[in-house]
Formats: sequence, structure tokens, C-alpha cells
Amino acid sequence: MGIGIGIGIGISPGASAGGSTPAAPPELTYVFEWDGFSQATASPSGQTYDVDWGDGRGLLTGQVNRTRSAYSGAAQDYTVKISGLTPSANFPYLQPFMSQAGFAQTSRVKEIISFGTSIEWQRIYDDLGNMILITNLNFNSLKLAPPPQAGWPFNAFFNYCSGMSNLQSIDFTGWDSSRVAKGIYNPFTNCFNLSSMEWDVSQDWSGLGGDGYVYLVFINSNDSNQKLMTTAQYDTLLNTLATSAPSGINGLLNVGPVQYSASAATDRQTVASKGISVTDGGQI
Amino acid sequence: MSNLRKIDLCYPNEDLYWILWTSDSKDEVLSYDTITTSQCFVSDAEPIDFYTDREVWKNVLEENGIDPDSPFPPDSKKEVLEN
Repeated sequence: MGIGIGIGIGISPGASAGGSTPAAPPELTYVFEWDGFSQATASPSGQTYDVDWGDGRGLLTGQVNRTRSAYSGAAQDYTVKISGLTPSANFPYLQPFMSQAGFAQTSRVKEIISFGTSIEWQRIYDDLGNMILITNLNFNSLKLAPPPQAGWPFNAFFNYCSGMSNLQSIDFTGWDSSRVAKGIYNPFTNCFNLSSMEWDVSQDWSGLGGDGYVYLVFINSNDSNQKLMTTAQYDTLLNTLATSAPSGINGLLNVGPVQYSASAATDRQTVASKGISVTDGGQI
Repeated sequence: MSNLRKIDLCYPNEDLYWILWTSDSKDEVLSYDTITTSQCFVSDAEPIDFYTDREVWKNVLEENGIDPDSPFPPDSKKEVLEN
């Protein structure tokens, strides 16, 4: 499947560790749906960081390398906060949490409350090298925090994801498109067993293109026939781009085999006239 | 970016591969993509070169420092996983 070009990933230092309270707001805050037996882990190689697993132990400062939660009792949700991480050459991607190998992996991160402000997360892996979203029988939605700052990338975010067969929607409520560097780029590349996806694309995309580029590539590179949005959603996306995207930009919109309705044909032409090359499944 | 020519095609007989250049000198790739036989394509941008041979298309991109098989843009941090 084809791809476009253009997003750079900048990484800046995180907060320092130590003390009874974090020196800076948590870099990452998320809700962990604990399955009742497997522990969450953080495994930022060579990193010293603070973590509050929400397990009653409070803030654990100066943690190094891999640490684990100490959940016990009945299955429930926990809010986890991690701070003090500093990206390094071998740590451009966080692999902080998931159940231990050998256990049934029904725990999951179900909501990312905050990405923090210092690290531009590109993707978030578990300690087995899989996406955080693996293998959850009841998983059908994910709520993502708004991009923390301008230039935040969203390319190949769910790279190599698997077992997301029940994922049907991604909630981008509150996203400021001006903070998404150049757009959404191949978020589901190399994914397996994705269900039909529904993207809420009705948000204001006018912020895109500020740097002269707009990339909106909604395809699953592992299955070029998969539709990641409905015709109605695609029509909406075309309309918002036609009315809000700046002219004279360079852009790429590819929605795989998703078709548009006759009522969106003019919007589609308008999008193209603004400099965004459009690839789709044609008109219904 | 110029808007001199609209390309509007549907369901090609074979997969098409294109490269959009920044200028007629074609010394810098602006974007690139694939059009499958089940897809349609519309663009006002140019100059665009179309290829029917993926290897040729890939070679041109590689000559310009781009790996079309990478899920990441060429100026992104590459994947480094430590497990």
C-alpha cells in the first residue's frame, strides 16, 4: 500500500526524578484496566523515573529500568502516572506496560488521560514488543488525550498492532488538529485482525496545513481492502477539508477502498484543488 | 505547487504508483503513493510521474533517499525496539 512522506519526530527532555512529589507533572497518565492477576510493568531501558501505579504504594521515585505494579484483590481500573522519563537514542518509544508473559493478557490501557508535555510519544509498546492494545476481548474503543503540544506526530501510532478485532472507534474528542504534525499517517500499518473502524473525523481539521503539509492516510497496510471509516464519515471528512483546509498546500488523503457519496463529489474536487491528492474507492 | 492540470482517474487496469515532485527539475520528492485497481485518484498537483512497475517506482524513491516500504516518513525517527 502506498504511503506519503513528511513527519519529523522531535523529542525533548523529560522531567527529572526524585523527591516526594514529581518535579513536573506526570509525563504520562493512563487508565489501566487490570484483569485481576497480571501486573503492569514499566520497562524504559536505562531510565530513572517516578511512577505511581495507583496500587496504594504512592509515588515510587527513582525507579530504574523495569518495575511492576502490585495490584491485588478484585479486578478494577487503576490510574497510573509516570514522570521523569528522558528519551534516549534507544528509547524513542515507550514500552511501559502490559501483563507479564505467560499470563492471560486481558489487562489493557483503555484511556490515555495525558501524554504529558515533554515527550512526544510516537507509539506505546508493552514489554513484549506488542502494542498496548493487544488481546482484549471487550475492547471496542479507545479514548486518546489531546496532542500535548504543537508538532505532535501521529504516524504509524499503532504499528504492528494485533488482536484489535473489537476496536470499532477511536475517540479524538478535544484534539486540536493544529497540534498534529502534518496529519495522521499510516496509523494502522502492519496491523492484523482489525475490525471495521470508525473514525470520528468530524472535528475541525483547519489547523492542519500550517506547516504546508497535510497527510491523512487511513489505511491498514496489512489489508488494503479494509475500510477504516464509513462512507458517511468520509463524506464528512471531505466536507471539513473542503471548507477548512488552506489552499496551496501539499497533501495526501488516502482512505483505501472507502467510497464517497454523490453529494460529496464537489467537496472531493475542492480538496484536490487545494493541493491535497485524494485516493479512495470512488463514488458509490 | 501549481494547479495547472487535474488528474482524475478511476479503477486503473493495474496498480499505479506515483511520485509528486517539488518542481519540474524533479530533484526532490514531495509525496508519493499507490493507486490500486479498486481505487480512484484525483489531484491538481504537478509534476506527477506515474509508474506501472513498482520496482522502478521504488528505485526512483530510493535514489531520493526514501524507502517506500517503511511505515514512517523518511525524516522520522526509525524504529528502535529493545526487548
